[in-house]
Amino acid sequence: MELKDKLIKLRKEKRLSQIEVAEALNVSRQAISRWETGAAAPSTEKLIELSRLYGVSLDELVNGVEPGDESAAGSSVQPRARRRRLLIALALALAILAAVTGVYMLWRGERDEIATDFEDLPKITVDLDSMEAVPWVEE
Amino acid sequence: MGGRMKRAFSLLLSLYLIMSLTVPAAASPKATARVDVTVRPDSIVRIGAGLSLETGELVTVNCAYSPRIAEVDFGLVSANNEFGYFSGNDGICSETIRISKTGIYYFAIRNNSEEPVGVTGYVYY
Repeated sequence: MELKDKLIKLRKEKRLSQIEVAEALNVSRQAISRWETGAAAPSTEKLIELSRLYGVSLDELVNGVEPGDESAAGSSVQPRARRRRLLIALALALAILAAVTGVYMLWRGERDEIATDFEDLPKITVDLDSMEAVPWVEE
Repeated sequence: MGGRMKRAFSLLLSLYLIMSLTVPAAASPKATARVDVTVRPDSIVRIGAGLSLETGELVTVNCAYSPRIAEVDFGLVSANNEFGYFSGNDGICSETIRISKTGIYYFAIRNNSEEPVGVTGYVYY
């Protein structure tokens, strides 16, 4: 429900006229009319006064949230919290991936630095076919 | 989503992408092979099947042997029967060989001692 509709509903529930509300808030009747038609919006200060006059919370007046209506509030908060948790999880996963990649790069860089070209190694000629062959150890 | 979180997320994503792009796929180790063998005195053994290696690829040997005073060589045998090797030192061999020519290579261990030598470790290629 929009603010203008809420203002009309609450005023009627309190059985107040626009003039009575205007006097209570120290504004003109036209101002009340403009708020209730949506032509203008009350200031924060006046909204607080309206909420006191109508006996509702400011949140209820502005957002239309009924007191104790946690499902309405939760429905907007929970997905946000879930999204936040998801983002944190994603960020952590990326950080771990980046760390693993970084460690691998360091290891690879180290390998690159100390590597010796096969051509530069001391060599002997061997007979590959007559060599004893041993398999790799199965993990 | 908070602006700070967005920035952190973007930074992490960028970091990861940059790192991914700077690691050439060809240089990644294809496999790790485990070695656990006893090499007879004055003999040379080749371990496992031939490794198909390309120019620039690295083969890292991390092995320990016993007795530590034994004279042991670790290396690769190329397709033209050349055994290029490193000598172990004090019971350890930790070396990396860069392949100069694409081909099939065999990892091999030579025991120059007069007693059997037990070798365990890993070869990353």
